[in-house]
Amino acid sequence: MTYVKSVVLVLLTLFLIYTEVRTNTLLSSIDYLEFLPFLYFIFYVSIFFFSRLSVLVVLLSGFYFDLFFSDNFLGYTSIKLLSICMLIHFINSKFSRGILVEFMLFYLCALFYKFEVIVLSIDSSIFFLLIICLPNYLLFNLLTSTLRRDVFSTKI
Amino acid sequence: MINNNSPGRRVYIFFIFGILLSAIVFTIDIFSERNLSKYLNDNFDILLPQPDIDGKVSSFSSLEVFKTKSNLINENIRLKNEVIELRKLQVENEKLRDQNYSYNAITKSIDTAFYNIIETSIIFKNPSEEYIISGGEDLNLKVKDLIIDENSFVVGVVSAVRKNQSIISSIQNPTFTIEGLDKYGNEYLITSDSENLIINSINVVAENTDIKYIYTDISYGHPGQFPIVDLSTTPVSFANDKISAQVPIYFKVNYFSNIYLVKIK
Repeated sequence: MTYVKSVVLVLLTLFLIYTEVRTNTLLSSIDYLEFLPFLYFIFYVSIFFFSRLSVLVVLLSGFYFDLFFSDNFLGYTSIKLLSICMLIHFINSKFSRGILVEFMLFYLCALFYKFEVIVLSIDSSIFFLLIICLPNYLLFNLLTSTLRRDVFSTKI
Repeated sequence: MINNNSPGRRVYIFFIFGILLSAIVFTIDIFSERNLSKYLNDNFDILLPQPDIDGKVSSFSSLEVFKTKSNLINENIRLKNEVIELRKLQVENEKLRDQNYSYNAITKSIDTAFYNIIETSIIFKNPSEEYIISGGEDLNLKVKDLIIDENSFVVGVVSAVRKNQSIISSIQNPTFTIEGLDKYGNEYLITSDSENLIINSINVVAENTDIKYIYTDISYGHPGQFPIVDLSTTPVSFANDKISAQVPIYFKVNYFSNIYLVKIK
């Protein structure tokens, strides 16, 4: 059962990457709009689901991304994503929880996630990314609050 | 007291193992000159559903009408179907008309006796702002092949080729660089900062700022001479034995852009 769960989780994550890339291709004519569901997943793993299983999922997702959507050497994105998860989890464990801290962490996560673009034009990209992050963070918050709600114990 | 065997710390160790494993794969891929990634890409392409570019207009099957219904309802359904078919034809007609205009424009500016112009399309855009286009080894594409717009201006260069898709570096990409020549034989390096194309000479033969176009050239590995920038309305400066200029980027590559690949016949 554990293996089935792992395989399903890996396949769902690959689908998430595909969805992100495909959606952003359709949105490519709009500069200030990007939908980043895979970033939500990475952030979710860093904050709420930092476990052994997530190592395998993130590792395979990175391989998938390198194989089909980038010019990078195989393994580059896995190293990047695993490092992001570790760093964000570490910072999160050192700070008290709050919406502002969480947003800053989300923004930091996005900065690392897109650092290839940021490095080349730091001044403009940081501002663009902040605008892109705002609706994405709201969506992430909405999704996590929905996912984490215990529907069985809620009184009607 | 700090517990060194806490589960949280053990997860960090698993993450470090994951990074080491990725680093090993990364090293193998570097030393095998991408043979590992190429092999996996060719054999696991089942994991990458290709979007149906030509099938944007969905096909409507004929509706089976129940014979027991009254004639009026039948007629109504038949008319509705006809309207749907006509709308479908109208969309297709508009698409073909646009395609025809762009083909006409491009064949006017390019000598089709020497070049094959292949229409391509953006299929993916990755988070690193790179675009993936349809066509790869199946079209005999090579790195440094050119992507042009309807006016035959260069809007991108192929940077990596896969089995049936290629990654391009577009003029909006901050990593975009291309070498070019002007009519006097001066050589230039053109780079991008996403908003502008920055032109700097690398070898000046004639000190003249009356340059109209900067072209690609076969000597730089490109298929032929295609204009990269038009400097006729842009101020060109000459200082310290260097010619430089800056041109704003007007053409934005996106999913809806009409772009073409150039191949020598």
